[in-house]
Amino acid sequence: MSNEYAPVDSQYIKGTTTTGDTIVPTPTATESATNTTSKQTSATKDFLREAIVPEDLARYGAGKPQRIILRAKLIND
Amino acid sequence: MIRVRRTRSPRVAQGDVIRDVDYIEHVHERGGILEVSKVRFPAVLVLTQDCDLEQDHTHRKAKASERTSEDKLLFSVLVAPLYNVEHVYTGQHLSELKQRMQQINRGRSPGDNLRRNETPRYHFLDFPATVALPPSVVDFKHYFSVNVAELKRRKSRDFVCQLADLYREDVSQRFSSFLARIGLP
Repeated sequence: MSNEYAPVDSQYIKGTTTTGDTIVPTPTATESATNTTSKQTSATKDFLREAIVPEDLARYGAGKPQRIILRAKLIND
Repeated sequence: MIRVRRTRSPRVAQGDVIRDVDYIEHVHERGGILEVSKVRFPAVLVLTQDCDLEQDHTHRKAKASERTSEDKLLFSVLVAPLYNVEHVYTGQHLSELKQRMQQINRGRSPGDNLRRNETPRYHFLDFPATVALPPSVVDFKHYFSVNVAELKRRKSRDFVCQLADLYREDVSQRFSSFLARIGLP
């Protein structure tokens, strides 16, 4: 059985590989997690900060007021 | 986060959020050419008192023979635009109109005051995830009016949600306080 979420997990969890349905830590996973806590926190914040803008744009469009000018020629019968 | 209703009532109601509402700036006729300039706001919030809107609706749908007067009819509905708070922080929310607005530092007191609704001019609304609107700011200074029948037509196509009672009353109370403010030297 395939795990459709595995690619996402492996992309964002450093030091892991995927095997079927399970995520298996690589030997360096624990070490890297403990040694780079401050870096990971910062990376997470950056990721969230970047993710908000495209998501908002997709959901709500540009979302700014726009001026529209219409011109029409009057016809006298 | 605020609470909202997703059900659409047949009339315009206080606290309604409606998309793509136009403000008519001018209508000119020169040399046989008619020019209409309007500003289309992506979303607005209805501010008019709900009892007035209800009476107007009741009167409009009543048969002519049942009406004793047109005393309860409204000409227009007061609304205020909703701006994406991310645009407000940077002062770019009216950039398409070539207007630069004051920046609000989101990480310091001005941003905190805005989100806590402690800035009289603005009302911050954090919509639930089920509503397709970003965290937004109502700018009370930018209120304008829209014809009742036109807004009702617009609502039938572009209704987003209505603020729950407590939240719309909070907006109404803060809007009236803003309008009634006294500018001291």
